[in-house]
Amino acid sequence: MSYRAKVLISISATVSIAVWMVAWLISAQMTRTYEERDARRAAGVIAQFRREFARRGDDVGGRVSAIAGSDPVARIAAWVAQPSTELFDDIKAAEPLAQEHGLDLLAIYGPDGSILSSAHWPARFGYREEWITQNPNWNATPVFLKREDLTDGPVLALMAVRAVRAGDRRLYVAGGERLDASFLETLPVPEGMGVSVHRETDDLRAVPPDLAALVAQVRASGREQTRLVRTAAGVEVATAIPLAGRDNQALAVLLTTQSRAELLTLKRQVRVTALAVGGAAVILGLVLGFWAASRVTWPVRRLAGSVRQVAAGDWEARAAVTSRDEIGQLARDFNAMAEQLVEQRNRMLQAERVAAWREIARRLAHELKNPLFPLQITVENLRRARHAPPAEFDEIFDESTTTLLAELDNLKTIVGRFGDFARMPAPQFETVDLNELASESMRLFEARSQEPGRPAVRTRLDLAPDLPAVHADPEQLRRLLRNLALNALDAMPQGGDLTIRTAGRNGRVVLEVADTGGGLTPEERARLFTPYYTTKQHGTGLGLAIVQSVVSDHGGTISVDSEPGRGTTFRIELEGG
Amino acid sequence: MRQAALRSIAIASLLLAASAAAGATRPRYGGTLRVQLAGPMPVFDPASASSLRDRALLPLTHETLTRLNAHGEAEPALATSWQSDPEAKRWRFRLRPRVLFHDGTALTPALAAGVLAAKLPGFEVAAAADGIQITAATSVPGLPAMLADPSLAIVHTRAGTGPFEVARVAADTVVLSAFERHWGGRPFLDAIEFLAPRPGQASLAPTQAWEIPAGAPRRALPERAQMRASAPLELIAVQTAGSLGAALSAAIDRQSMTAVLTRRRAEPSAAVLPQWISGYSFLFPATRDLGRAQRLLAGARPSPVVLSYDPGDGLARIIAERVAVNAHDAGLRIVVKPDPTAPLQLRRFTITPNAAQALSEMAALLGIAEFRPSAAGPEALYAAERAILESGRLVPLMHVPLVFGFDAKVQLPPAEPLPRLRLESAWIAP
Repeated sequence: MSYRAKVLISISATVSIAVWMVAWLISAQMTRTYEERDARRAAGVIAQFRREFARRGDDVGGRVSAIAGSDPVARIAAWVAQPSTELFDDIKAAEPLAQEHGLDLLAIYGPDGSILSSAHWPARFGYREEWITQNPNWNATPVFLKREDLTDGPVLALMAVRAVRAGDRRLYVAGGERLDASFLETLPVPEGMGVSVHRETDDLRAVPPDLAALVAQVRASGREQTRLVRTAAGVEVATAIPLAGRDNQALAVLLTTQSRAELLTLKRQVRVTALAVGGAAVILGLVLGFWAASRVTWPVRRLAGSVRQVAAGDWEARAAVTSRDEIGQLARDFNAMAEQLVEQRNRMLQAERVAAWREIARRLAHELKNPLFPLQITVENLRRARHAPPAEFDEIFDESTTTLLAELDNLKTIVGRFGDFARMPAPQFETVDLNELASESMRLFEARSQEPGRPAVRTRLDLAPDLPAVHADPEQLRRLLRNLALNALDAMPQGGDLTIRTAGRNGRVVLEVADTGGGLTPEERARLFTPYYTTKQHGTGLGLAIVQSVVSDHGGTISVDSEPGRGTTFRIELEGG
Repeated sequence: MRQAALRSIAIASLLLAASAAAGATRPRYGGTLRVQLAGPMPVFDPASASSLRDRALLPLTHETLTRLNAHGEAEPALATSWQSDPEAKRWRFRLRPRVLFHDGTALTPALAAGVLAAKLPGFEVAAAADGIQITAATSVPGLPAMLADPSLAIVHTRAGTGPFEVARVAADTVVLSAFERHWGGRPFLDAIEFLAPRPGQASLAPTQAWEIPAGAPRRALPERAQMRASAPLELIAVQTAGSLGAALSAAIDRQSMTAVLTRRRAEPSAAVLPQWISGYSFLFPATRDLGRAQRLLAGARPSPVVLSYDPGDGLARIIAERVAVNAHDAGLRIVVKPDPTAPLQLRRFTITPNAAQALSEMAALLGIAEFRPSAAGPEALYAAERAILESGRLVPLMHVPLVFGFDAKVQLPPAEPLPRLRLESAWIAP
């Protein structure tokens, strides 16, 4: 990843994180504010409910007390006071009293708790309800919440009970008012807030699942709970408080719900704004970052270009110094380093050149010294033979001149080799059948290898039958084959196998010359194509140098595969014609 | 001397008191008895009178060959005597002589035979020299009692032979006037005036008699009112589709229902026929057996069942609600509301005083295999009634009488559980 990309990513990430952090903080603050507001509103409604509950309770208690003191109840008390086995049969007695005093529920109980008359369920006469006899002091008992079964199902009611003396017995007047929707309508409920009462007997299947679960939990635990719920109206915060009866059992749950739509809208707006601002900031950051990164990376990239130029061999390349900052200093240091490198290279080339000349001189001296010594001996023999008899002189003269001529030929050969290497001519390309050249060369060396006194070398041709022709200089290729074959023969002083192999591969032609000689060490392989480097006693070190030169002039490649004791294979690849 | 004078004064006082008492109990002709009704206006027509009250009042204007006594046995009315062959297939009824219809027509064997022939399909009715002869294909030992049914009253162009004749029929009043030429003599009262119910009427002072619904509270009656009740000939029962009958019957507390809702005017009963007719209704226990009801309902459907009632019948409604309360104790939820298609129907059935006929009519009404009145031995009657009850299609609750209250000045014959009101014997003391 480029430095500029890193800079751009860093700027984008920084801007994005900053914007989203601000958005998150705003959202969190808003949520906290709304939660506090919702909690205050819910607490207000619940407090109002409790006040209304108490007020209605006082009212109900007063009306039930009035009924307990009425004449009809006094008549019933008189009947109760009389010993009788008859059942009380005025089951309608409670109905006009309930209507007169505006009570939804009213029942008059006998001393044993059996219903004498019930305004809300007349047919329940005679049924005993033991709870009513268990409180010895109903007249001091405040109003309580009670579930009351009616013909059309259970209702929840604010109930008050008053005891009336009937001789030495007591009867009970229990009256109440339904706690229903009309009760809730009297509560000042803020806009956007819902209030409902869910009785223990209510079917919660019509209630949204989240609310139903909340109501069920509050019923079971008897403790107030507040949580977020999902309803058809969206997300709402719901507060549920248990409404307990006389025995503290939760008979119903008061549920307040407040929509979180406003908060969610605001949070959505914050998110959208943050997204827009963040996006704009990122784009602006990218532009500024691109500009800043360009300001920083442009001189660096120019410096990098100069470095690549120098690495590619352009020793004159230099970096432009355009500033006085760290980048400018880096360019100046690079230029100084390049100057030093050029100076050191020139010195090295000069040293290598001197060393090459010394090597050439050493090699020339070595090569020329060998024939010069026989020449000197032969000439001195001739000078001494000048005084010998003519017949002996003639014999000596013939031998000496023969030797002189032979050594001169030897000198000419040496000089010719050096001359050949110095005067490698440009190749004259034509279509060449490499198999034919290989066969021709192998025939020459077969004869030579079979000369008496020479080690036994077996030759073998392994030629590809459909080898494509190559575009090459046939004379230079013959020289290449000859040098490689001679090199192979020299490597097998004890005899061996000489193999010339051709093959076609991916449109290229492969020529291999292999021997089974002693092989090469890694050091020898590394210096194998260095001019004048030889491992032989009388070699010039130019043969393989000439081979590499020919291969190079033909656009080919040469490689060597050799290990000590396992022979050597030279592999040449040329473009097919 | 002084003691003898005091003794003479005391004896004279006792004689005076005795003569005054004798004057108070001597029937007095004249006066109109105003009767305040609690329900619809009465129908004095044998073909239309179906309610218990109409059937109880109908003998005032229309008479039958026989009538039932307090034991449910036939006694002479328009027929003075009757006899049958040993197989009880052929019956001969001797007609009362010198009986006139309200239109002045004399009752003749031919006229009576013609009326009954039309009303007794399956019977062969023929006029005889002094009466009529009725022949059946099978034995009909209870035929005299059957002929006491008000629907078999002898009419001539709508005129009856009863002690009163219909004088005026209006929307809110029906007036019967004394029939001077009644075969039993003129009734004491000049007229009987039936008044339609007057909602909100504060006082009953202008009337001397009033119909008392079975559910009326005691406090609604004047303190000195005297009560006269007919025999309990109306059955209040729950008609069911059959599946819940047994459980419902066991769940219901009939005793408290009749004690409180009808102020003991009705008789709790789990039988179709009242005890006074069948004599065996006690064999069908009317006591509550909640455990049995719960066992019978174990595994029954939990969904509520609708129990319907006549919305114009206040007593029916409270009885239906009580049935629902009792059923709830047994685990059966009943919703009470008027619904003609409901599987449970609280209904009133008017029971014909003849056991065989009553069971036959009930079996036909409930769609149970026909019961033949001719096989009306006690065992057969019991078996027939048991079959009706075991079908589960009828859950009897109570037998209700017709009750009237009368002002203390109204003199009445001794109270007897008859299927009719004997107002022809009533008179008004001054």
